[in-house]
Amino acid sequence: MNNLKELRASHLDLLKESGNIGAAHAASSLSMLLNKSIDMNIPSVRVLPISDLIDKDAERQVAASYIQVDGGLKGFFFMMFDMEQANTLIQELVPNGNVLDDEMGKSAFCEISNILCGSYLSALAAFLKISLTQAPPNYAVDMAGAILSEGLVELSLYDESALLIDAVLFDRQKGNRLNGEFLFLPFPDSLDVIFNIAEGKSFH
Amino acid sequence: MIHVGLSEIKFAESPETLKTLGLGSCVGVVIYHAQRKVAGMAHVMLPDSALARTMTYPLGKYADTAVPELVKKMTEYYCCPLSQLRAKIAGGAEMFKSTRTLPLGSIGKRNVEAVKDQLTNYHIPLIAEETGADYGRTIEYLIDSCELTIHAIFKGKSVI
Repeated sequence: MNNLKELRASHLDLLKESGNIGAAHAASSLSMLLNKSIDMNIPSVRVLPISDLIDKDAERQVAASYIQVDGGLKGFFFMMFDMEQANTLIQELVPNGNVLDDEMGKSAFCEISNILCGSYLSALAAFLKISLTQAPPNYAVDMAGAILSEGLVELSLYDESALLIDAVLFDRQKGNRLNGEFLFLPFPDSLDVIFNIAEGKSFH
Repeated sequence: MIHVGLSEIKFAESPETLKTLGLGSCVGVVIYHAQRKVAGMAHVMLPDSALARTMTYPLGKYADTAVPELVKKMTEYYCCPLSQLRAKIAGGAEMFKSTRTLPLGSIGKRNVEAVKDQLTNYHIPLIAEETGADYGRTIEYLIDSCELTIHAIFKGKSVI
């Protein structure tokens, strides 16, 4: 495949389906870590221009963790939270921790992203019958545009668009949504793996 | 205020301003003519169009296509003599403090170098720069005063 615009609705559905399996695993891992009920689901899978993705909230202050994915699929996983939401998340693990605390705050945030990414990927790998590995998380606190544009720079060589798999976390105990963004951005040539499976498999 | 998006190039005349948001490893390039009060800004994402794996791309995306396009429009459309053009740049940070091994190396640093090489090719003096380090920048160029203001979350505002 040369261009993400060639993706059809059935392909996006397949990605959403496999994403939801991953999200369920990720949610139960996070529930164990935080000792509370967390739900996670994938409301949408979209193809959108990289420039729209980055320009939308370029100046938003966020904490982000960025993980490189390799193996049967290559791509990047991003976990991004507004600074206040990120502090809330960190404090679930480390009381008094915050995003600017380079030791505990950063570790807690990265560990959460590691677990979410790991369980998401292992479900995806089982579903697609491929093996996937993940690099250690990279961490930054700054403007969303600045962080995303650096993370997407390699992807942008291949395509002016990116595949965005949204995810929503829901804290059942507090009854509130954790408004984070989880982006899995596969390289366009990696989508062939998914395409091939889509040809041989159908959902009823 | 005219907004310059990722990989875009835009031009304006006094009393307008040109603004681009959230530069990370990208570089904001301003080429201007001080007396005629006209300027162009590009939001450059990558150093070299030879890296592209797509058939088409916006000219503002790569340093080696963005600077020639800025110069072309400034000299041909706005009729500014090449020898009177000046430049200011900002950006080229490294947002992730990591040892991640990229085929592209430190992209911020490479972007800054590639833009400077292009400016040297055209003998355009680089009047000021605020580049490198590890923080995001929003920049606004005031065509009237030839000032480039830079906002960073933890560093506040500076003017070059």
